[in-house]
Amino acid sequence: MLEIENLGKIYNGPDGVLRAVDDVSFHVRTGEFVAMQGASGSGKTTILLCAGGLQVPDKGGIIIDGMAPYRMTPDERAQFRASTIGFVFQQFHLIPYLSVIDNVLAPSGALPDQNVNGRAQELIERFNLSARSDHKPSELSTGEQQRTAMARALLNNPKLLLADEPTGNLDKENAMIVLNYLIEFAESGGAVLMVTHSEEAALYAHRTIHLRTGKFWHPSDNND
Amino acid sequence: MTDFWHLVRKEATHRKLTFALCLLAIVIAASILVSELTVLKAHDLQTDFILEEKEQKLEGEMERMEDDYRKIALELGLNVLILPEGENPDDFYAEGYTSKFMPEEYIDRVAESNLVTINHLLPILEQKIRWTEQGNRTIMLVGTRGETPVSWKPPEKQKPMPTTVGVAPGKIVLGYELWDSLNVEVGDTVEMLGENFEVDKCHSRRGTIDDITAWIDLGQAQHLLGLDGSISGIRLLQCLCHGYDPPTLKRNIEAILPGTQAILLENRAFTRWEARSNAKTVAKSSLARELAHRSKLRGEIESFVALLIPLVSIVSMALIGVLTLNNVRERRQEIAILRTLGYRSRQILNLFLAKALLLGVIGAIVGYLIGFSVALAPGTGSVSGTIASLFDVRILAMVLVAAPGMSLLASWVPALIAAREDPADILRGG
Repeated sequence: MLEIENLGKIYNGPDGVLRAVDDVSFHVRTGEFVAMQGASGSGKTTILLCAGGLQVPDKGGIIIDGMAPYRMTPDERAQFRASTIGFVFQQFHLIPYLSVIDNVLAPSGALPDQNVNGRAQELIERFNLSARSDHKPSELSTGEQQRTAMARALLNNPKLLLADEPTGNLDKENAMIVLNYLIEFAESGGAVLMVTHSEEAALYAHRTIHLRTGKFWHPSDNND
Repeated sequence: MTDFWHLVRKEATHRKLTFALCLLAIVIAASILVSELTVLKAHDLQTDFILEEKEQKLEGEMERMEDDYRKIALELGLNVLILPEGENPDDFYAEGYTSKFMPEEYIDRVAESNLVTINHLLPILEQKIRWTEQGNRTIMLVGTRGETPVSWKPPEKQKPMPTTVGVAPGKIVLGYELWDSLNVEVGDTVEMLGENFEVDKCHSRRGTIDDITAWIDLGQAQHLLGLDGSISGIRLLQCLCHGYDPPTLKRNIEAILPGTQAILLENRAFTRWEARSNAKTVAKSSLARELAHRSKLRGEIESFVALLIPLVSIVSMALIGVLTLNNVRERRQEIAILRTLGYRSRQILNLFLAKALLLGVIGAIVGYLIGFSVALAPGTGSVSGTIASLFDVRILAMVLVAAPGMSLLASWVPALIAAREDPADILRGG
């Protein structure tokens, strides 16, 4: 589903050139749930953004569901992202002035020809948000906010789910709900790449990738 | 499905203060535009009203003066002297006779014409001659047939003026200097240019050229002077020219008497007519002055509007621009997440422009209502005209185009900035 080959990304900052990702290659297959761990600044989020078609890599290639998003025009890439990839963030990033149902429906604005109202209702029920459907994000608990974000990520039936610390702000119970759904999503034919600091969350994944200063690293590596 | 306008509306109601401030800026600009343009329209209506009122008043006064003039003319009439064309009136006045002549039948043409109602019609034949029989002295010889009866007056009312009684053939009337120096009296016979005349009347001293004038029958005078069928001129006294003004009367007389010139002699009627003409001219110039004053006032309002409207528009646009830019900064996370969800940069641009359009349309409508109400308020100078007459669909159309246009223009740069935001940069915490 997701093929990352020799990915490289450099940032030019005030302290000079920062090699955020350096020649990283890995695959996330359909039905697979992969966790990515590493310290802050190890390049996890950069890889996630590149995989999501939001950050143009400086080197290497990315293939998602057989398509190369960085060979598309920005508009085509946006369409591709809307139809293929779902995002979940630690900060939820819900739109503050929209209700739960409107937030869940927000991705439909990117694919205006689809009628997804039924799908939205289904997800609202699936994530146990029916009673909160008309509430604003500020009126929700953190767990409800993350469940809303999950429902939003799944509206367009994505094939790849990219999650950036999805349990970082959740209590144990809500974290478990989210992680279980990620497993369910993968097992139902999707693919999940999750960035996490949590060892417990990583245990839910089929396998874990470790990063350090933009490169793969294995905890048992004696050099570190 | 999330409706595009639903997003715009929800965001506007969420950030009420920003929306209200932007709206206020547009409403102020739109209401000032509308009120100023409506005040200008009211000024134009008021100008029309004032001028129309003055014109009507002038018309009334002119009609009254016309009536007065008719009454005066009825009593006085105009005096007209008809001389041959080319004859210098100054020479006639200085010498007392003419060097050119006109056909005698012109008298009948005037008498029978319906051009004027003439009270007294006097043909003239005057010549200075040497009275060879009386020491070759210079005298004025006047041929007269008295007043010519005019067609409009019944015979019983044909009363000649005392000084214009005709002289019978063979008779002569002498001025004071002549009969006194010749020592003749009524009934005596005098010889003139080879013919004998019986003294019919001796005038007392008048102190004018009449004192050296001899009056004889017109036909005899024409014969003696070798001017058969000719006269020097015609005097029309007390012409009552109903429906004509003096210049028209002059033109009409000259039209029926080719080769002549009609000279209007000043008298009280003529002076009153001139006064009336002058009054009309003065009244017209007063109207022109009022129009100039109103035009000047309009120009001053226009200058003020020309300064105020751009100033208010620029300030409003600057305020909208700053507020929209601030709105873009506030919404960076939202922009990033929308881009992440697959929104294209053009859709982000449209989100901000749609909000600007919404602001512009609401601002135009509210601004129009406020501006129009302000223009109608007392003390704004728009006292004349009703709401219906002041309503101008062009002003409404103008504000419906200008306000959204202004809002879109002011929001354009912030909207472009929003569209070019890098979602990855924002999501990384940049």
